[in-house]
Amino acid sequence: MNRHAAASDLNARKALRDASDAVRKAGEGWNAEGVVLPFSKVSEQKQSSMVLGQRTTTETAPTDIARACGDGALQEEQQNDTVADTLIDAAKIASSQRSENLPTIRASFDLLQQWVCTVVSIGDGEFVAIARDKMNPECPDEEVVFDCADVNDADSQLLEIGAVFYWSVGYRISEWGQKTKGSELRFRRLPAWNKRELAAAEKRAEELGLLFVEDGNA
Amino acid sequence: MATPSPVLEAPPEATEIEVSLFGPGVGECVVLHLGGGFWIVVDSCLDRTTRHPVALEYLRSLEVPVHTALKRLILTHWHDDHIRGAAELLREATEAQLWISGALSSIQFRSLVGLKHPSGGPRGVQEMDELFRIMKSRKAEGAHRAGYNLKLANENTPLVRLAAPHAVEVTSLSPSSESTLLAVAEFARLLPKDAAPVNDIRLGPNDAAVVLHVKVGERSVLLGSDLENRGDPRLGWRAIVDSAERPQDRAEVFKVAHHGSQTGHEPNVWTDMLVPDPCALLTPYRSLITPLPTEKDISRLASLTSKVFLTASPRTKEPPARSRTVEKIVKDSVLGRTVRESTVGHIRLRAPIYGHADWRVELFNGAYQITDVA
Repeated sequence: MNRHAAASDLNARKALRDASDAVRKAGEGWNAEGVVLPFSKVSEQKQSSMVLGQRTTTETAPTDIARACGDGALQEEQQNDTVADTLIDAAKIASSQRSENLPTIRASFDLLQQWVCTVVSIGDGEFVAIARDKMNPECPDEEVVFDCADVNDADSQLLEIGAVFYWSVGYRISEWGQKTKGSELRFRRLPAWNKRELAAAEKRAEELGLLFVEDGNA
Repeated sequence: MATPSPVLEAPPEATEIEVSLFGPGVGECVVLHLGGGFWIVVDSCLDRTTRHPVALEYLRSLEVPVHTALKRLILTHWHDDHIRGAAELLREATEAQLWISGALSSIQFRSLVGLKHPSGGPRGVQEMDELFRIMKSRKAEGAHRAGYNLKLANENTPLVRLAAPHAVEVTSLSPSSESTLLAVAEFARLLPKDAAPVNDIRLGPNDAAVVLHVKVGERSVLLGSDLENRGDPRLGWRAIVDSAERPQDRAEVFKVAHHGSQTGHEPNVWTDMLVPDPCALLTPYRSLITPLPTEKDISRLASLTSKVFLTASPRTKEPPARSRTVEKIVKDSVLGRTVRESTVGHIRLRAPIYGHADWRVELFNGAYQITDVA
């Protein structure tokens, strides 16, 4: 194998890895409201918005897997990456053939109720949160006690006092149409505070300091 | 002692002092008439139904001209349950001075308010932000405007001094300097660091809460806010009781501190600062984990005075029912669930400013007197 061929082979492997990651991520995707949308496309999840009280369905034909593969690989690789291109083309062809024969994969979550919650205390394997009704803002806030074991592994490190999470209640509907009642806790992930934001807060604090000067001239 | 069928809308006489305690609603609030149409409001809470400040709705129901008659809005601390609706009230009370705890002037607290929280941040901080905006705009209008300056309450600070038509003195008894330092250190701890996750702010202890002593003619009232005891003579209630500079008049009415909790209890307050058998008023704090007052707290209070009044039951309340499916899923998913808010209970005490006639107690919206304690 010459040097170029070796590089192409590496690129092809990377493309496959990216494709695999993209598929995995798609399977674990979340929309902006923290509601799980399994089997959805990553790029579309970011733009999707949950229609409360209505069934939200996402469809993914196998061609999306190839597209996801392309998203992950082709942006980074050059056009001369022939091996990767060939693999992707092959995947597209295979998937288009399969999609003609197989029903579209469907999965959905019927969202019936959702709260935005803030953790106020943690202890003895349970935690307490103040839950604000997102669908009926006129409803009073509730104090809710959850079992720590109900927080999924990916979110468990986010469980701390002050953490914000979405509590969604509804029906999970599998790709085979099976309905199960479900309650989901999804912790909010926001970009962390940065120096610029903290400096802006300090600047505003300096300005507010003028409020405490008796006559404004001192 | 309680008056049957009281009329809520009946205003007090000009020569009467009134102490009205509201809660829990979304928090608690005290409205005081200091005689001669001079009103002050201590803390603010929302009516659960209307979502407007309870104090504003009450004063309007008495046909009090809020913009001129409300002279002080005093916020004892910045926790959600003592500050909600304060900005709306201040906007109406155009001539009222706004008083806050001295600890809140610190740059650490101001930085907390200055943070641009993506989700708006905790409601107590949001409310403070709005109050600061109002005060900034008033300040811009200049010194000719009444109530344009933000005022800071610290230990033994006079908030009101009137000689006529009645002698009135309202004095803040806290926070002590040491309590302020402790609170500022807490604010510094709450401030996020670079790369820290964006979370809501955890409310700390009420070290810097403002306790008020109100003297009108021959009547005295002690408003305990949420101040707790720290077991340190320089902090909390101990600093107040031991102070030689505080007003020495014993109060006939006590708004019990921190919902009657053991941590808010200082025995020497009852022996050194209150008359025997005072009226003790309190609001409950509804919670599954830390409900207040507990049965033990109620027993303790009842052993100290025969006149204990609660604005509402401390028992927790079921949340509003959603659909059957939602209720079933929720029931299977959580370990416990309750609402903290309720219809706002109201205890109203009135008495002539001069003389020693008993206080007239009127109870509205579920407020009640503790009578039987096992």
